[in-house]
Amino acid sequence: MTDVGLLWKTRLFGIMVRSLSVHRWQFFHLRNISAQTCRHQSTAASLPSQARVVVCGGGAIGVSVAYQLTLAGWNDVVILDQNSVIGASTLLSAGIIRRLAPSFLQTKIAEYSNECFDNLVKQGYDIGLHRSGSVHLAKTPDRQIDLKRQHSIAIAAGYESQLLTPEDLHKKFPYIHTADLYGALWVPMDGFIDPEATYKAVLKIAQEKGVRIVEGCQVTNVGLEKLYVKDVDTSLGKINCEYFVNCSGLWAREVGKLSSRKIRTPLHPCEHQYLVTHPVFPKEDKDYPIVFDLDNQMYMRAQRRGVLCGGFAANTKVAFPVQIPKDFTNKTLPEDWDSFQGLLGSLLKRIPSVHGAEPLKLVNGPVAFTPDGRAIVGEAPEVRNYYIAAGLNCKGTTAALGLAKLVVDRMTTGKTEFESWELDPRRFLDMHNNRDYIKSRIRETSQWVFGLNYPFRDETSRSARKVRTSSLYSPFKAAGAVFGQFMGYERPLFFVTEQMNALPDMDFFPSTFGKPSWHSAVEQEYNACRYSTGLIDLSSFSKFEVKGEGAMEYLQYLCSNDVDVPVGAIVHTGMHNERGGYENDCTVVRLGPSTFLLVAPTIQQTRCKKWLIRQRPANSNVVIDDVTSAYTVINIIGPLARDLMSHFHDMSPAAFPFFTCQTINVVNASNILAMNVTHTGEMGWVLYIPNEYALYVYEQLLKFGKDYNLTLAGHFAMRTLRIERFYAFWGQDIDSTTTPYECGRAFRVKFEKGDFIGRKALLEQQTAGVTRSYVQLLLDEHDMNNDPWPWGGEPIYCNDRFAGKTTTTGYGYTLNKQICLGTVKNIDPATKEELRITPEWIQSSRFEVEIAGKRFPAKVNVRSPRLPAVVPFEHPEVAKYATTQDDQAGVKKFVTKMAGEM
Amino acid sequence: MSSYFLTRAYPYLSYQIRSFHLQVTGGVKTKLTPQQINHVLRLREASSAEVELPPPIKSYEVSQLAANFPIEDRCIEAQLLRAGGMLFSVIDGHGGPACGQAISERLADYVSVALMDKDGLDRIAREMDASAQSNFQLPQLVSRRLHPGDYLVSGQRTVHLKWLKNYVIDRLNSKDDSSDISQKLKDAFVRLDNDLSSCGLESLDENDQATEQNNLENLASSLSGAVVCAAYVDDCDLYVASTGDCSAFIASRDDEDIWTTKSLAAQHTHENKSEMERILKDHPGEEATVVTAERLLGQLYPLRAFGDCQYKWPVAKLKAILKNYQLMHLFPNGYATPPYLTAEPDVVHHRLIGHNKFMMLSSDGLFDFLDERSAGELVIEHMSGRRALQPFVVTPHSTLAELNVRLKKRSVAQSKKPDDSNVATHVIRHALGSTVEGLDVKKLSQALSASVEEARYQRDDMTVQVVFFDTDYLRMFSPMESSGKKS
Repeated sequence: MTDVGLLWKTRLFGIMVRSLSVHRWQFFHLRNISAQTCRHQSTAASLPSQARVVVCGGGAIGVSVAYQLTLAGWNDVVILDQNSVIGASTLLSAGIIRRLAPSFLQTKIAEYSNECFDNLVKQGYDIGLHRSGSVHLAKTPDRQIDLKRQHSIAIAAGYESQLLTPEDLHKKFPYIHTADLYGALWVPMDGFIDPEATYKAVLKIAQEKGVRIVEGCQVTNVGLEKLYVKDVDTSLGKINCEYFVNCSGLWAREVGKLSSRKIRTPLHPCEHQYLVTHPVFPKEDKDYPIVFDLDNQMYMRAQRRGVLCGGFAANTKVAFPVQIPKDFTNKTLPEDWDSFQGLLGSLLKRIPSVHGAEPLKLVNGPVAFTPDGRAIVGEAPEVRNYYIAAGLNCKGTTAALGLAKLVVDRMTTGKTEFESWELDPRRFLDMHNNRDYIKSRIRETSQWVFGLNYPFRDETSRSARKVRTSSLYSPFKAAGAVFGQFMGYERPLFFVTEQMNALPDMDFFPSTFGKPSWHSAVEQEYNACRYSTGLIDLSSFSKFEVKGEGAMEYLQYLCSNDVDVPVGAIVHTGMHNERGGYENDCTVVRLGPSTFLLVAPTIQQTRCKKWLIRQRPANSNVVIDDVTSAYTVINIIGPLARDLMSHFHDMSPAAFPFFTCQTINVVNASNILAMNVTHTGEMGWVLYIPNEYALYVYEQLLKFGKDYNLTLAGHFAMRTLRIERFYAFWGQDIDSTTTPYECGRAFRVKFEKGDFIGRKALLEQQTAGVTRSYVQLLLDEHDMNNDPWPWGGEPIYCNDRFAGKTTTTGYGYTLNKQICLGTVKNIDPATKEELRITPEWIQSSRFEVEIAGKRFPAKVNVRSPRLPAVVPFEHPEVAKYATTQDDQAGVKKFVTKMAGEM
Repeated sequence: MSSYFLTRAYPYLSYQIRSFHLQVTGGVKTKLTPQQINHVLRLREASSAEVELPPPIKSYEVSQLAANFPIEDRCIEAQLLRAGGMLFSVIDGHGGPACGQAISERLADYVSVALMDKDGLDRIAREMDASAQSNFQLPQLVSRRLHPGDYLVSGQRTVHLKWLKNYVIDRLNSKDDSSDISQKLKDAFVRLDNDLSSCGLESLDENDQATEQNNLENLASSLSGAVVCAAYVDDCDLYVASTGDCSAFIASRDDEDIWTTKSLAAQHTHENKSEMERILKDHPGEEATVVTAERLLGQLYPLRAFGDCQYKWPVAKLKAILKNYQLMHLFPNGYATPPYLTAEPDVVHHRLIGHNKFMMLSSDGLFDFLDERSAGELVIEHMSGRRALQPFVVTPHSTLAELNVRLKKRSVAQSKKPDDSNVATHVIRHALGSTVEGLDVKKLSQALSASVEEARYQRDDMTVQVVFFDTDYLRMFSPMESSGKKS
């Protein structure tokens, strides 16, 4: 019996070994090929020994970076390409200029690229630019709303677009099948370029300024010195440099691994196919608009007199599942007609006149995608002067010049014209760079190129879920939690109610632009937090321990608030850059004379650590530990929180004042760090529980919480609580361009404490005033059952002029209104100058928010609104929780008093 | 006696199967992994890959799944080197594998001899004489590929040659000069059965130590039995000779893309009226005993079979042999007027035409789970699914609309892309594992992990043999109208 079993195992093992060895063999095979190619190529031009900037990769983006560098006056640039510049990806591109974008940043980038194209034409270059216009088709009502939302952004951004009915569309372009459409959006200034001609022109200009190119040169190592880029080893020798820019497209992830510190560059190619046909149209291509049949994931344009049609159907394949062969350069993938059938069917349906056309070629080229569908543009967090511009998610050809400007601005001036956090390489963790993770994600994100821009699309994506979970994931799940992922971390968004249980598969609740299915569930959770007690999981927040000799002085220099507080006190503080903008917005807890716990937003995990480490002086004894994974964090929130918490510890205001922390026991569990603070403006305690006690503490809280209507609440409830209280969150509302003066947080800036980063800029702003203000807008006349809801990114109008955009939004269950947070500017209509913002201007102006083409009048708050008191015997202190925007003298008094008592 | 057969000649294959049984009967029933399921199902699969076959045969694929231990089914795919054409056969043994094994080793030779003309036979006879003086080699009449797990019983070769030589001589001396192939097939079947029977009878007479092993083998061959269905393809003529209850059908696709199947083998069971009439006529006055409980003499389910000499031998001889081997319990009740059983087949002649796509022969074990029609559908589904495995080629001057139609068909095929590349294994997998919702791995796992004892009651051995025809060849060389006649 045993022998037989053993025999079986041996056989199975044999099979496994055999299959493994096949892979091995392939691997070696590819290696051999690439080695041969290297030898073959190493006959090319000579390599300079020194350059200020080395650009790795001579595709559209690499060439654009070099070009932008010359515009900034940096001419000592070398482009290295393992094959030849303007390679396959550029040549294979369909060359479509599409300006419509779901965000202002992407719109701006597209706009800037467009200006560049116009400039090239003005300089006399023939780049094959044709502004034939484009039509975006809506086959569903939601698509219609999505297009209207983007139309709003287009108008706000100042370029022309026009909504068409199916009838209008038919009149304009009779060969488009319109019977199944709700409408379309016409963007007259869209068009196409000849990518090869365009980027050859860009390269020529750059070369004239002194940029050198070395072809047939493979980068083998990026040399570092004290975490700065020092030199680059290549197949042709070594080149010393100050800056390195990874523009290597499909290979960017592999190049990222070529330094002693691996650079996270999470991207991988998907197969992208387009079909070109023999002539079908009677006229030349420039007479036909580009058709984006978004609901069929398809684009189509005329090319000469034939059709060029491509897209990303649901069966989009991940290219090179094992490894990208290094000799792949400038080649296409084998055509895959089976995968193309869906798009072909859509084309035949949409443009019936192509039925009789004969195919000329089907082109299959790999396109790099990232796990969140956004490009990776900026400085790498791991190494200084190491920049990345890659993972363009199919927008490379037309966005390259704009993205290049972002990188170059960052490199040459340290700042950018527009905040680009959504593209920043610092948004990734190691988990994002896992190849299997990337591959499962890009199957989904490739669908987003033409997908509906639903709210919370990233949070509720379906692939690679349940990777990071808190230790309370299972009990939350059992209690009906519907999770959303944030940096891969699963957080409860809301808990299903009994009425909702009937809905199938609530893990992926139906997406909508209107009233969401979870509205009433969140209302119950909100009410518990507002009127009794709620329990919210905050485990995903980034947590750092900063300790060692000099930790206090070090943090004083980083933070704008005074962190030299008594041990046990908590400080909300910004960390600023030299321009006074928020690099980070965090909570600093002084655990000991030289020990601090620093809590930052979830998305800051990489960015915050990088900032802390970079500002740390050489020879410093300060130690920075990422302790994010060590704690499960529970927030007990609401007016009855003190009564509940009093079961475990003396929570009276005298014994446990606001903005302080203590180590407490919860029944039999110890070492729980309780902080009398919340992130939403309600009263409450945040408990930092070592993971092994988490389940126990959670159960005790639920047990004792019964008498206080303790209700599990998700992040949607927390979001609406803080939006109603006008609490801004870093990364969602404020970013590295926002200063405390712009968002009403000057009271947390303590100039008197001494120098800190950004002090000078903030002092200047204190006297000069601000030209931008962060406001809360309460919408009137919004029918929440029928109108599309605001979801962030909507244009704000002031006296009928575009004034800014919303950041985060939510329904205020107490104010009974849609509430938008956003920034506004007062732009002089004549001079386009940004004027100083005064309370008078805000009070006297008429504000509106445009949602999907409809403008809603809005009442503006610049300070947190006073919400009705909810407990009859409210302690005078409670009012202090109500806002962070007001003067916090009272709070300070408490802290001082407590310090005295200690 | 049965342990004697068990312990020999199953070097590797049966050991594998047994290891499964031991694992699952040893304790808790474990679910088989998909890999293990594949392993069991594919243990005995074979195909004509890389073998050149005589037209119009394009390819064949075979698969067997054992329920008995050892398996009692056998099958033959043999090219008749001297007589021309190709012979396919499914042999469903019972009462042990010996009879089926003997048939699998001999049938193709007998059919060859029956089909050969006098010149050919004469040459064979002379070759046999010549070899008799040297080391008694059998001239190669057929080329048969052994499947994984197939074996030849040592020593039986000499016995076979002896009897075959007699057959060659008898054929040479026979006055029958007819060219009726159906008749010749019948002759081969009957002659082989007679020879097996005589072999067994001899064992009574020659009782010396040296030949005891062979005698035992011979006796086992004649006391166990087998039903046989053999298809002989000679250019565009197909003859299906069937003794017993194996099944054979041919599937055709007409110009409107409609598939039809046609049965080619009569079932010799109690359900077959003419068969019942034949038996009752041969044994007048025994109506009450000759077929009881749906079985011949209350024991044997098929009404025609090879071997099973306990229904064939004269009463006295049978008694003597059974007594000699202490096997008297095998003596049937009501055994009065033997023989009750014959190996004479019914032969169906079918003229192959361009519409004929494939033929399937199978043992009745398959049809406990499927009917002919669904078996045919499984093959058709597999054919279209397999098409999806071929790369798509854009034909010159086709329009986008035409391409789209072709691609859509392929995408349907893609969804049916089979787990097995072997169509016969595909049929068996679906026979065992199909549910309304599709293939159920759990159901498959249960069926395949049953112990030897359980398995025998859940299903019989299964053999599926699928033969694909070369449509282009048939279109060119065969008249379009089909003709079938029963002889």
